[in-house]
Amino acid sequence: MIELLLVFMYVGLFTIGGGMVAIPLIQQEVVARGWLTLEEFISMVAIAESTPGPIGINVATYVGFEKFGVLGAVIATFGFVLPSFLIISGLTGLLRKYRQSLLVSSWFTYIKAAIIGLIGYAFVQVAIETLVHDDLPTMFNWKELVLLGVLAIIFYFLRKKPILVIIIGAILGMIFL
Amino acid sequence: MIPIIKREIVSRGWISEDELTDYIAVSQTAPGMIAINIATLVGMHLKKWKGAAVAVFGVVLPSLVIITFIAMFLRELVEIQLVASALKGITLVVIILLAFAIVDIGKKAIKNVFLLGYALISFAMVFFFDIPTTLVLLLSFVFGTLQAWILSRRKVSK
Repeated sequence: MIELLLVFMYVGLFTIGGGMVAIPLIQQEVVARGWLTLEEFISMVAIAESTPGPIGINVATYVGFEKFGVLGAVIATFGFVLPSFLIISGLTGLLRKYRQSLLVSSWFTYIKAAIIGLIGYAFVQVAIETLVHDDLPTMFNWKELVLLGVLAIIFYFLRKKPILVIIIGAILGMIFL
Repeated sequence: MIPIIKREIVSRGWISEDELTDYIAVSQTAPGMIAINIATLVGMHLKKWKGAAVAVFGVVLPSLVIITFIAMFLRELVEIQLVASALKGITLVVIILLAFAIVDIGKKAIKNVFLLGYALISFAMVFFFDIPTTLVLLLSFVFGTLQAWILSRRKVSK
């Protein structure tokens, strides 16, 4: 259980920006430890995206619950929140002062570039796991690919309302998949 | 999410719009998720430590309750064909969300070819060689420190 706490403290510390950044970090930690399979992790992200609340916290809660029930959910979420809380509340003054400093801004330049690579990793893993079917002779399910294209177009026009696109995705999934 | 925070907090007169803009800027560059960072800052502003703790608790509580509830029944729910199909549809949207996140964050973060290369190398390290993300991020600190050192030396020599 301490491991659970530490893993999510680490993820919380390095989730700079929105929750999308948390996904590859949690994915690698959780799947490599065998806490969840990649497939379980992906359906969890799908659920976390379609429920209210910041996605990172949703995923943390879910993984914690799967491991140790309600107590696990509380511990994982607590761990996820703790680093930001301590740093922000304790070091706001320092942050303000050094945000523009050469050293700190150089750190962030590289961390942000690395994060792009990491989100790319999550993207490729989720895409392969979802779209490539070893049990089908053609490997791909054409209905899924068409739906993916349609949803991408819908998303492009409804970027400001991702929740709406998720609902559309769920409905189209129920009809066609 | 930021528009909602703005509406709720500024209209209540808890903080001014300028202060909130400053908080958002700090939140974006500080470790941790933006939502939690903003909640901590606004809470601190209003009622010091207690305020920060209460505000963060407030952000976390709905997720904690809703997700725990869903997690309890998920195993049974996924057995239902319709739910499984809906989840598949949502997963397709997740793929799209990730792709757009890469483009959106990338536009801001990738300022030159060198950083693009660095992003690709980070990807390769994790994807092909299973290197822990911890190491990739630590490497970023090393590179950042190096860059800062080189830049500051260059300034001195001029």
